Amino acid sequence: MNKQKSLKIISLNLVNLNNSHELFLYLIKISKFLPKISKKFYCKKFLVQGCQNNVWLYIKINKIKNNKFITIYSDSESLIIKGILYIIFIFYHNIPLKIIKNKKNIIYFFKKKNILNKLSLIRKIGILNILNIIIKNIQ
Amino acid sequence: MYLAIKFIKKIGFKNYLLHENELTKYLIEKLITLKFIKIYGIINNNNLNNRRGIISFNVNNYHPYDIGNLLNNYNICIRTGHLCCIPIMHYYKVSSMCRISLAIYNNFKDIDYFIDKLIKINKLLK
Repeated sequence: MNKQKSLKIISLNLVNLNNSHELFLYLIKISKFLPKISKKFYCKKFLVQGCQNNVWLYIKINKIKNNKFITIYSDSESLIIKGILYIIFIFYHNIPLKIIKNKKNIIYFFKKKNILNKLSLIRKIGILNILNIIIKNIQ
Repeated sequence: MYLAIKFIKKIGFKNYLLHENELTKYLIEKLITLKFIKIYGIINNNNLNNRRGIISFNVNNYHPYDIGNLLNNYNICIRTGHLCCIPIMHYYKVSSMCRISLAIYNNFKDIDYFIDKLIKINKLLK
């Protein structure tokens, strides 16, 4: 299944969730789709600062012909956060840098789907830190 | 503060502690029967009189944040994370824990409800 289709399905499913309990269970469910990463990424160097749950994130920029693509390697101890990482993964992984203009798109998506409201302030800050790392690597 | 002291005085501090201790014993007895729970601290029945109503635990290898969020949806509020005590986390070789606190306003029914939801969450996360 391509990523656009996955995103559409996730969007539709998120709309049908009635409360935070269903949202958390859904995020736990989709967390299983986040690709596993190599053991070498589970170190302090790749740990995102400011997240209470350990989140490891490594961003790589690949150049194919004239296009630059972003590759994301990430994981978390928490399944709920892993679910959010999967959504971020769909948004950015293997997407040409030309298309990714700013992080507003994904924040808009999270806001529209009412995901951020159901998370604590510390988790929200953690997610913004993750997005900032991605944006920094893109620029 | 005045009302809180008045409330405790009315019950009697000894009764307060006794109730908390009975709840703690009951909760630990119940938690011990669940194989997917790891309790931290004293769980030996002979020493439970010295233990207050604060119990730290983990559920399988699931992150406490997930457990806390799911319990929250059943109106059960617990503390999760490193509990502002990172040396203890190093001692037990974990990054975080769940912690339940019992007090005078809790009863045995609350504990049964909590245990029931823990079992449910463990099944949901499998």
